[in-house]
Amino acid sequence: MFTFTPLLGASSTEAETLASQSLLSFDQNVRVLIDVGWNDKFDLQLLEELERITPSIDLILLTHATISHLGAYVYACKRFPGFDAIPVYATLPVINMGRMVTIDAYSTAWFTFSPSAASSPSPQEEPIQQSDIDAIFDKIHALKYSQQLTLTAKLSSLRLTAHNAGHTLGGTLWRLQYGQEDITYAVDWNHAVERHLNSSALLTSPEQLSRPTALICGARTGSGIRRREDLLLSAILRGVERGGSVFMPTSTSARALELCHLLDSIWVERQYTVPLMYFSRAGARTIAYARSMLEWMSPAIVREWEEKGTSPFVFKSLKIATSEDEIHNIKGPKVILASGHGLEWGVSRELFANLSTDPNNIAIFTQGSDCKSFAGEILTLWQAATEGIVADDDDDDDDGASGPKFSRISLQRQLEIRKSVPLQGDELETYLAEEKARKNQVDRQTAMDLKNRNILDQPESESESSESEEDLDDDYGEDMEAEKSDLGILALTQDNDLYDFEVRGVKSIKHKMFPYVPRRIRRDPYGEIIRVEDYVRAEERDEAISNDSNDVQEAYGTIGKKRKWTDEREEEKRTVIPSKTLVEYVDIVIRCEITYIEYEGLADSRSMQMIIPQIQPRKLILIADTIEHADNLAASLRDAGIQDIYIPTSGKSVNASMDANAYVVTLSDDLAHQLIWQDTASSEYTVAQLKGRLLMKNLSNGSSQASEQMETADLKDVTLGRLATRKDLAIASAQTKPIFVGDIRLAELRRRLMAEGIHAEFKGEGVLLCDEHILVRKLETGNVLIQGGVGNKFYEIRKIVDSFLARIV
Amino acid sequence: MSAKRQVADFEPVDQSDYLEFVALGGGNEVGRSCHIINYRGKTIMLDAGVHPALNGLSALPFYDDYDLSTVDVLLISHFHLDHAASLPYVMTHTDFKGRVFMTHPTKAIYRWLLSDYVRVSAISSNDASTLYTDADLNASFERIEAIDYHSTTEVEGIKFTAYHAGHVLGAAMYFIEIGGIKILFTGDYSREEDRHLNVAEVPTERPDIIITESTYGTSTHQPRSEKETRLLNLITKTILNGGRCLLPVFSLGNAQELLLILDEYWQNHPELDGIPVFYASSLARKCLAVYQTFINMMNDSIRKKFRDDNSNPFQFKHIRSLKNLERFDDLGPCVMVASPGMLQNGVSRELLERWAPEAKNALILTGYSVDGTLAKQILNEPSEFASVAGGGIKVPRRLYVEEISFAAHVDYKQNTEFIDLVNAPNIV
Repeated sequence: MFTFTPLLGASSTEAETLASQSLLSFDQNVRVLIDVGWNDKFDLQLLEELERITPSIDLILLTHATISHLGAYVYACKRFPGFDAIPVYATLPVINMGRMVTIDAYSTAWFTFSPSAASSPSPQEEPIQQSDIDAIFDKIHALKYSQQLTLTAKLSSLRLTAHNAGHTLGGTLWRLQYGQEDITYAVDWNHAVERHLNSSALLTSPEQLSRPTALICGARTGSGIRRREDLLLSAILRGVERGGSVFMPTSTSARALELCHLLDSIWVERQYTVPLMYFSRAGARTIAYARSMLEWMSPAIVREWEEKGTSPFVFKSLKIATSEDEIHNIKGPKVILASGHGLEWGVSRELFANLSTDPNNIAIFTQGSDCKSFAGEILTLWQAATEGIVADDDDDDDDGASGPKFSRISLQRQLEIRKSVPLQGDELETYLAEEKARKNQVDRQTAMDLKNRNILDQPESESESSESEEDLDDDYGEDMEAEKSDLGILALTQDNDLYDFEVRGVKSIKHKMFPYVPRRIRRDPYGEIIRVEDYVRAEERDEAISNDSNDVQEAYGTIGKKRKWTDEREEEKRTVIPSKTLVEYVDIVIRCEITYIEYEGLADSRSMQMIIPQIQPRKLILIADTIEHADNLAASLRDAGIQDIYIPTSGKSVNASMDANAYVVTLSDDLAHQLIWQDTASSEYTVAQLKGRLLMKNLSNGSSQASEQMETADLKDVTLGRLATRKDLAIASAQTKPIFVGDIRLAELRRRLMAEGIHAEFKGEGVLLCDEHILVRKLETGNVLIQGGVGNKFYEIRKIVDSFLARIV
Repeated sequence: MSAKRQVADFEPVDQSDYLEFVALGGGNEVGRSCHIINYRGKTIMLDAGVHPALNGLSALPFYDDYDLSTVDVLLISHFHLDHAASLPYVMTHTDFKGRVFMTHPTKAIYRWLLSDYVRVSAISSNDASTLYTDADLNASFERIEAIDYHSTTEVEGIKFTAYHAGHVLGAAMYFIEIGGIKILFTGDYSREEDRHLNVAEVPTERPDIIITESTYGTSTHQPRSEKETRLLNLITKTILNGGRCLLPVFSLGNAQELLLILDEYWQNHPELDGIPVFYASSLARKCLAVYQTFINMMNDSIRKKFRDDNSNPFQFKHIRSLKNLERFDDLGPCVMVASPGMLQNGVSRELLERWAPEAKNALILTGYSVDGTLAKQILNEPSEFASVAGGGIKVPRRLYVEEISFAAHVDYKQNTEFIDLVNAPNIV
């Protein structure tokens, strides 16, 4: 029993959101969430449903490293209790790039700026730090394409395989097998090979994905225009020649990599000198990741790398910018790829506000966006403005591809721009002071914990009571002291980084001398407990000690470090620049030219209509587009022979289970030994004939003969046992005509006939004429017909034909 | 000649169901590894190596003994010459028609390594009978298919999956499934975690047959940390005495590991800043790009480093590459990592001859030394040895010689442990 529920991103009257979240549930038992997408605006209400079902999810799978596929993942992990405990699987590039896109997007998302975070940092509202994002993505299990995965416990009956989807680096089609169900989840895939991406496994290895019981397919399609590189280039040149800048909002990694590689190679090839930039907060790291994941890319990229010896993602013309200054330092026309294709998150929004006011500039949109996002709004206006406009006809349109349509739209908006600004002056001081206070607090806490642990470590029963009492007193006193000055003089004995301690003001007599804490000898029933470190050889010492005292070091390290306060502060400044978040409101008037050139890397609808019927899904579920579009696609696919097509709406479940009565049959050992295998001519498979009695396997008593062999505990499993009774034999012997199994290749047959001295020649399609009299005809159904006068020859030929087939009596 | 064995499959269901295992090379020797598995009409060839100490055709495995045209799939476990170097010969000079698979890093390094091998063997062997040329190499290179770890590939009923094997970058164990029989071929593997490689994994499924290496047979290694400390102490001592350290290495595998150790040590010991560390191997330099690329196939610690520092661990901060010896100003103490590893000729030999007469210098052998090479001889601390220039010139040896083996092979203990873990009923 398989039900499919699109939480987000199902077909709707208008493409409300591209975000995708789907819930697949099997037998009401195993629930798999595929994708944790969010929209560009990060609307909280979209996640309400997700929060509600969080406790029931058993597994999460991610498909693409884009906000619309995993944008809400980190947010949900931080905010929804229990969400982060669910096991997650994704391919390595999706993890790495997902990390990048999340860091990039969250740095300007509203919740980073929520005013409540500053005033009352309750644990729920604690801002999401970059380290949190890193930690959360570290927990995802990485998979390779077509890696066999064994899950445990409740999920053990589920088999998962990732296949290449194209569209983005590491993009995944998930194949889920659960009992009879064989489901392929294919939302956003590309049939075409791109510069750095292979085409989808739906095309390259259809044998692995064919005949799923249900195919869940995104109906969102690319436009399928050819020569889009040329279109893109002509649009860019148009802007540059005019002396303006070209601005292209794109994603952080997914499609940006393709664009970067494309533009860089064009720039190198044609020796353009216009500055080309890729601007993203996470740009440098993204590209570094891309360099290390060549094995996920197309063979063309690998060949390029092998031939040139430098990585294809070491760009020659393209500069990677991570701050605005780098952009603004370059005067004059420039071409900028900026992260954040929806103009909602990332650096694109601010940049767009800057650039869009100049009429010479051109903004090229390459990806569709939610219609609620700013980019979506612009594109809707653009669509309206360009309707009816015939594109500049400077090229011969033989393939229906039209030149880019340019348009100016009139839009006046007040934009809210969120950005983080490094702290300066007083603010920085305050921040550091607070940090210091917090750190001290933490230090004191760890020191106390440590002491408490030391006390607990002493086995109470062994030590003499008086001593232990005294100890406790001591410790208590010191605890008080620790409150005042961290650890007091005892710090000297515990950490080797501390050398001096102010003793002049100390009252207690005990502290006049250098403190010495005698080590108590611990015993257990076997005698004195040995410290392993005392007995290691000199060569081993470093290793052993560092291993042993790692945790202690960590705790103490903080105490030691306090002395190096100045260093630390510098370090802090370098690594995490404390920043505050600002919200600015800017009024902008868009004066620049706008165009849209689809560069999404999605299969176009024509290819989809070709490919999907080849895969022969029993059932098809279309999601992720407007109903209108999905209906069109469904209509054409119905013509192609796929009958069961569902177009669910968000939140509505579809039951798409397999209803066939098929059983898994296991052969008992003694039966298997009796089998006589026959080869078929094509030797694709071997056939054995067998008569047996079906035994329903009884799980409760476990005494059935073959129970040891059975691994799965599914009631449907059936064992074929030996024929035991006379009655069985009687039933079994009531047989019909012999059946022949196998597929005859006529060419093969002809060779054989010739070898036997029978002349044979082909007469037209699928007909073999043997010795002028007898016809061997292969029918479309796969049957073979032998026609001709009855005689020795006929039987001879029939015998040869028979020998190609396995015979079942 | 070739060891031919038949391993009866457990409980044969059918008389024809014998699994045949043929060792065309590497059966009872180190080098020229090549094995053939035949089961149910499917033939898999595992590795295609050469013997490192022999030249020309005699170095090949015994290909004449087997009909190579029947081979469906050839799997290369890693790029070492004794496992991969006869591959171009097989692909271009025999009637082999099957498909060839190796992992991505193996493929990338294999190209550099073999073109180097072609060059060296063309120089060293006087007769024109080199096994293959650069053209053959390139022609065969196009036909090699690269696979990723853990991805299962299926070719005509043969399913195989590559698992991490340790040993060197890209080394794989193949888990093969034909007609319900599961075979694990380990190739060379290592069970000890080092700076950059994963240890050999234990496959999730239990194989019926395991085919494993036994380079070190029944001997056992010293613990790794001890070796490292010993190495670093020795280097520090030599440097502080004003001496020079020569570490002859194989260009690949060991060299990268040593460089990582040295780089880390220099990082942690700022007082050594003034002492230069060089590596002199053009091959290692070329292949460093491969190492920088395939970070994701290495172990967690190096991947974490890559993630956190945002810089590639293989972009060394304290180690410089040396293009040729002329550019090397031999002034004062330094550490030199140079190839070849057995001191046959080339940079490491030249430096050895230059440095050998001085007692404060040190030579540290880190690899496996084959009989008949200078590396093996010098371990006996002779008072002099023959110069590579010939003419009976003898070079006096006064420098300190020490062997610290970082060979990434399993020892007896680890091998038995691993075999226990995999728990296969049949072992070859």
